[in-house]
Amino acid sequence: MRCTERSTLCALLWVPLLCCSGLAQDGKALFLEQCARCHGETGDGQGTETLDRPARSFQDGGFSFGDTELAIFRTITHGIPGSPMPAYGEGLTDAQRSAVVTYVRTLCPPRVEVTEEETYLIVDRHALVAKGLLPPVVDGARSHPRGLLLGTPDGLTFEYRADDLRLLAVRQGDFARRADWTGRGGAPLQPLGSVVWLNEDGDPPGMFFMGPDFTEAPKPLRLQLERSSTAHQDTSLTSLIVDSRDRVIGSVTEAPARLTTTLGSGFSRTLSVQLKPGAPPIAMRLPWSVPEKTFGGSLRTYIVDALRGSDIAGDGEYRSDLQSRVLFWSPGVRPLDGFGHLLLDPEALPKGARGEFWITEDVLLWTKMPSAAEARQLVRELLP
Amino acid sequence: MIAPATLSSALAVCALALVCSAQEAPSEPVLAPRSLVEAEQQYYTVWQIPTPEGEVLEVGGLDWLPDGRLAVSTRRGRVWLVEDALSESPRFQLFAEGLQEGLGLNSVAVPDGRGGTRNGLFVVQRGEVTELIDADNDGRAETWRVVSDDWGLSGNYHEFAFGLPDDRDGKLYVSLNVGFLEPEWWLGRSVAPYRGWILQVDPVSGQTVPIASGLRSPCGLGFNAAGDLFVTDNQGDWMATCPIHHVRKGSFYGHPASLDWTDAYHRQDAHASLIQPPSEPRQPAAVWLPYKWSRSAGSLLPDLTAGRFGPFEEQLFLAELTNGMILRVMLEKVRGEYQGAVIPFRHQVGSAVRLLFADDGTLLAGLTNRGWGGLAPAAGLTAIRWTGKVPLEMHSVHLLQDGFEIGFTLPLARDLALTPDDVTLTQYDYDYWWEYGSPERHTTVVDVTDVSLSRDRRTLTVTSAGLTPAMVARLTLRGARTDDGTALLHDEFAYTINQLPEGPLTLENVVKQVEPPPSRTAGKEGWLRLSYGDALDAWHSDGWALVDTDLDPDDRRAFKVRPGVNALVNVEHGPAGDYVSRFAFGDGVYHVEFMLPEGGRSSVYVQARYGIELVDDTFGVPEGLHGTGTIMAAADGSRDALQPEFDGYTGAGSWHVLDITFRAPRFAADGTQLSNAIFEQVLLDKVLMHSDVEFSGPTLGGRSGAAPLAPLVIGGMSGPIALRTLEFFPHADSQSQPGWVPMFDGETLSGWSSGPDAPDDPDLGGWEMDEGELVGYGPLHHLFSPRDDYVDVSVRASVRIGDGGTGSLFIRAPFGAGIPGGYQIQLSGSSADPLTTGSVVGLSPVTVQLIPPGTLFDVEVSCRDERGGTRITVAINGVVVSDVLDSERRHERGHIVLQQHHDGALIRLTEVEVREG
Repeated sequence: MRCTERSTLCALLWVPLLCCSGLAQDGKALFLEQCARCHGETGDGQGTETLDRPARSFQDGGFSFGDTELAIFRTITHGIPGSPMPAYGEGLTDAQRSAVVTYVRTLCPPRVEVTEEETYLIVDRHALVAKGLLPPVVDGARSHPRGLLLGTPDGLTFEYRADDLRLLAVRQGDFARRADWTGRGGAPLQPLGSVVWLNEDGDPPGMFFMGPDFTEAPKPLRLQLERSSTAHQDTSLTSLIVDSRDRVIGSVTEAPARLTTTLGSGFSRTLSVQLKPGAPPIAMRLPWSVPEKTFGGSLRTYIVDALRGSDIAGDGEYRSDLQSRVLFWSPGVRPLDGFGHLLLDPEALPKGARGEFWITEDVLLWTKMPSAAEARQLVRELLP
Repeated sequence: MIAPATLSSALAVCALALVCSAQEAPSEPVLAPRSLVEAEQQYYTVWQIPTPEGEVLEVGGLDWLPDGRLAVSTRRGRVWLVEDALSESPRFQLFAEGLQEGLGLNSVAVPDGRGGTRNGLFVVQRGEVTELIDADNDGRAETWRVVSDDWGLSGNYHEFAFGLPDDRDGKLYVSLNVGFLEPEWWLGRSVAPYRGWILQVDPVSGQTVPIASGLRSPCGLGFNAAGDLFVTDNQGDWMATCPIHHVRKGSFYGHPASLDWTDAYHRQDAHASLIQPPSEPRQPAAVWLPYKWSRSAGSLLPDLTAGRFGPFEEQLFLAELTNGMILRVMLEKVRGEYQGAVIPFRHQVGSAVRLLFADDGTLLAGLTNRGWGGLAPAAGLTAIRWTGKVPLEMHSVHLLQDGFEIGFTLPLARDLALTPDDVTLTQYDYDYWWEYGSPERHTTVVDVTDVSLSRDRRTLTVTSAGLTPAMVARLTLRGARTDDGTALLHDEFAYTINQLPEGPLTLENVVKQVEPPPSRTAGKEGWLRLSYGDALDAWHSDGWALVDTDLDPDDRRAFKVRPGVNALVNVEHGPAGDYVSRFAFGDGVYHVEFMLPEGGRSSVYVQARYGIELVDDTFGVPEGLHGTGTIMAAADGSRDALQPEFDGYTGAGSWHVLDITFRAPRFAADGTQLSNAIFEQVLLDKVLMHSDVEFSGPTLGGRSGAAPLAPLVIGGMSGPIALRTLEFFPHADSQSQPGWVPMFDGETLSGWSSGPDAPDDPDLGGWEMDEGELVGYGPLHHLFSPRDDYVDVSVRASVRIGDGGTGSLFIRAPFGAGIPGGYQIQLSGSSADPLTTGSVVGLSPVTVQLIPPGTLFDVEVSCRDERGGTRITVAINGVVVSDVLDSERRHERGHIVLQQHHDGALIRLTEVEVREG
């Protein structure tokens, strides 16, 4: 019985007043024509219509589904299912609905409008971490609900997916805009710098693996962010290395930084890996690294690869860019297969070492392919 | 009871009140008459704490540090430390910025690992609980320790995380909103783990335990004076109005979305319906807040100020955002459970969401309403201080079997003679449904039979004709005053009576389950079921089998298969081919339910050309793929793969639903392509992944070219996949074709006649026109068209056949008894006959049960002679399901005939039309 009463009521109310020809175009007139019966002429929720739930008072400012322009526009367009609020999507044009939105917002209490200027995060003396939803790095890619931007005072931004500490991109320029300060929140962060390096390696399963068969059937190890630091001397991200049974077998601290050489500039990532006593050897892969040329050397092997700049350019600035990378690593680390896999073997550590390994990757954003002489000079310059 | 306010603090109050009244906009109170606010102001003054110039302090969390500084977290992801917060010139220092919101903050002593304790400052961000550490003591938290991020984020705007009170053991509590995702944005969804839950987090180990579920937008967590945890929620779907829940482990509070993450649901991969009430028992809310007082409830805080905030020691105060006020909550335990009353306390404090008491008894309210709406001020900190003067208030409310015992803050006047007429008592309840909130239902006036004042004139006993449990009682008291004429400040409370003190316990809830209103998108009308009945019939299905299946517990990369009828798998009969529909489809909605094992991969190609990846990412996503829901790259390289921005795929071993709304390419009569194919919408598990993606050509792996109609292809060669419920909802082609003529006038049988074996008695069977609908009923018999010379002819109709019913349409049939000759097209509800709707009997069997019984469908049959025979085509809802050439030309001309097959079910037809030539 109650339902019947209700549906009769709704049936009456669900029909917007569309019969009138020559609907008003300005928001106030439209409001008085279409909305005031329920919401009251002053928007106080005291209309002439008898409702089983009072219409919202715009003067109180409360909105069921948000008070942003977009949210009110949507509510007017689609109505609120289950409430007497009808859908006006077909009854009013976009422009008319927008006009009503604008007018309704004038009835509300004063609101705090966030200016765009306020939403810029500035990296000043210290590095700065910003957490938030990251938009796709390139068109067609995914967004990342748990994203982490690390901006350094020298103008680089390292863009990570915080779930597994995957470096998605490196940018240069201003740091970020917090678009999630507008509306109800939840909008993506907007990194502002131009992409100077892009991880183009699909979505591989991670950076660290367990054996026993590292090359054929590696078992991925999970990284779990434990802390970030933006202290003056220590800008780093520390993660736990966790196996498939959620056991922590070690930790890795990643310190990204700008890199400047006489041949060009870029960035470096130093990874220091600490394995727990008794931990098995693990493999590491810098997933984007597909070496074109490998130079031997006991502890100073480096890998240079060149990628065409057009593949990585975000905005065309690096059209003729070439990218080079150099790897250094500490005792206990050795190449596993010559294709970017490294084995971190506690057994191979020098006596007395405490199960700690480091790997530094230097990435240079060059405008040309290095010659052999330049590569040698580069290695001398970068030698730790 | 009156706490001594020191002279200096009283002066400070006055000074600040002067300063701040100048800042406040003299806006007209909306909810409370000016006189009420002025009266409240006599007892509780309100002022705004100055905030740093240029900083809009959108407060999300408040706490005191041990050194007396106030810590404030904001929705802008900043944490401020404030020295002398209650002074005229508080000093704000930015402690952290860059957080992803901070809707809860707590300063907690935690073990330091050396046998002592240290103080930790914890903040809840949208995606984690974080400890902010200033190890180098430079006043800035340079280290952020991730304490717990053991919950999911889909990226939806509404997935707020609130907190962060601690219990006696130092454990922290977080409450998580459900998301509101397109396209059904009015239904809260829990697409990532523990949305709609309360979690307990150990601040040291990070161990995170789900505590209770069934929440929607639980903004306010707080402990009462006894140390029990409560949470407020916000009205909307499944929340009749804003409630206060007592939080207990294992409780469910009513919003079904979160149930997906309970063991019972998660293990079976069950998804709670968002429009049908779940069967889980709901723990009754301790208090349902009347809509007029609360539209967005924030945090709860007990008064532990030992009287410094007035006479409401140990009662709860509640921040109400939209109405910009503070409510007071009086709880008691009845039959062992909390329930109680709510009453307004102080209006015009601004959009309050967080509360915190200062040592001196000042109540701080943290404000923010950005995007939510609420009374001004919209941001900042409001301080509320007791003036020392005791208002006349209903201090406590105690439920009696047939009334209430109301305690007052002050004795009532000696000369006051209250009568039952001074009390109005009503009761009401609410609806439990998916609609947005609920009106107050079943409102009844309860007769007040007696009122009696205690000897000390501080307690009024109201006796009624009888109270009903599982309803809210609203009581208004008129005329109460003190000897000096002070009137009752707030004269109305609402008490949630879950149980009465005595008598049998009711099993009912204040919020009653009612017949759920139909979903806005409900209805199976118009859908073609492509895997129902004979699930393999509508498909080319080499190597596929109909079974029951789950993931193999020993090897989750494989399916474990049992005999059954609930899944189609490609692993039973050796190497399988793709699952390719026999029918060709154009515009419409393609519905595919699928399950992948760990590492599984497959694809769905609409029109065999436009592909979507199905990829399980347990072991990562293989090279060249991107993830489930990705629209594949163009085959000609003109467009890269399009990943959905939102990762909607939730894992192996679960059934997922892919719904693709498709617009087929258009062609001119000469075959020139006029427009491209478009994915208007791609939904994964009812969440929008893509909209309006146009295809200039096929995607990788798709058939070349373009066509108006083409089959649906589901990949079966890349590894194991299970399918169920495959459906198509055709969108009608709006091009009208000329030449159709109605065969009935809508009122009579229009010259049609029953066959010789029709029942004589129309009560037993026959055909009749019922308001424009032709209805056949009774035992087997036939209705013959007036003309008997139809040759090349098309017939179409809208048909509805009840469960178990069957009928037929004959073309080129001779008049006579028994089953007529002619081409017989089967129409069926659900019957034992293996031939189902769309079959041409003897020529083209259809055994998949395309049409749900009792639903309306369109049939169009065409019969034409051509070189080599007579071609019969049958389209159901516009999709051709039979297209057969009778080379023997068995039937040359005759009647059009309708058949009612057997008693018990009806066949109903409308819009029966014919076209010749």
